[in-house]
Amino acid sequence: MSANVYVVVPAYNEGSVVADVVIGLLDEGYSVIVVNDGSTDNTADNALKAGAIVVSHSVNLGQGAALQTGIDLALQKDSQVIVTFDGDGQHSIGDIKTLIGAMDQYGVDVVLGSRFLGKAHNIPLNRRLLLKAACWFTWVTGGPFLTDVHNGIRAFRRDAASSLKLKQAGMAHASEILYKIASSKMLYKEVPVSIQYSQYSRRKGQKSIIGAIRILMDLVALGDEG
Amino acid sequence: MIIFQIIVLLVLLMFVVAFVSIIRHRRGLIPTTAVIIILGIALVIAVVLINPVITQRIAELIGIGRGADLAIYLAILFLLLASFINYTRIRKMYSKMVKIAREVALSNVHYPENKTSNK
Repeated sequence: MSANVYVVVPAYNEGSVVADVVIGLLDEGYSVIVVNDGSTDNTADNALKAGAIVVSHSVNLGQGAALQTGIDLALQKDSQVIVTFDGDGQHSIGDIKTLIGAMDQYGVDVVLGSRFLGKAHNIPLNRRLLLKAACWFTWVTGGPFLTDVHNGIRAFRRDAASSLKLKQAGMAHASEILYKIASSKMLYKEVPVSIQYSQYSRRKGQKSIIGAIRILMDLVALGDEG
Repeated sequence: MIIFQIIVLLVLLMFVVAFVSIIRHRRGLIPTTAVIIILGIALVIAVVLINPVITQRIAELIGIGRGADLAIYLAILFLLLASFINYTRIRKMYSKMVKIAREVALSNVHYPENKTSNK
């Protein structure tokens, strides 16, 4: 199964950590696609040297665009399962086995990681509160009811991944994925995962309130058209 | 008529002449709907300038105190609507740009030394 699991890692200026992430994933037997999203540092070189397949955007487009590029490339290969995984070292590589195991055990198309079912080390309080509010907002606006609606670690069966076709280039893609899961009636399961908030990842993370407003504006402005 | 009204009417007339000239010389540059809206707004401004009392009469009819207040409220509504429409158009253009950039990226994938592209 590992040989047909492709892990898509969107990366923007993650030159200092991406190699470790790639090596860790390759050691588990996964195929790794790093999508260099217009980085201005040596993200692409380091990822390639570490052994990843690298596809580069010439300008920074956003995590949603990077994920869709990586998913498109994985679908061109012999992938059976496509996993999305952040490139900043927040996610635990061991959780991928949990996701794939749940996919087989429950027979679902999509498995979503939840830090609130698992462990969220050092999560800032404002971020915790905002994520809780986001869960309610997502549910009220037609998405599934989840405990964590903005977690970058997810696993898709090939068919489910091919139906995504994300239009949101920025951070609103996370909400778009959930709305698509709900509207297309994909079977999904949430499983506990752990997130490690390091100083590095907190510095790189989006500013909570401003980011939330921006996501809301993107969802309203773009709707279903792209 | 006072000097201010005459000057503004002249400026408006010059704008309309330039606008119509552009449309005639470069057909299709500006969508028909936009042309109608722009000329319509120019006409409304001209009517209000020639007969300022008209705004007062309309304001009294709909229960707003002064004609000037009515003009301001309408201007604010129009600007908000125009801003939102422009924002959605810019977002959609951005989406198209993203699509093109992603296609370019996918046409140039880099493989590590121990992998081939056939997998």
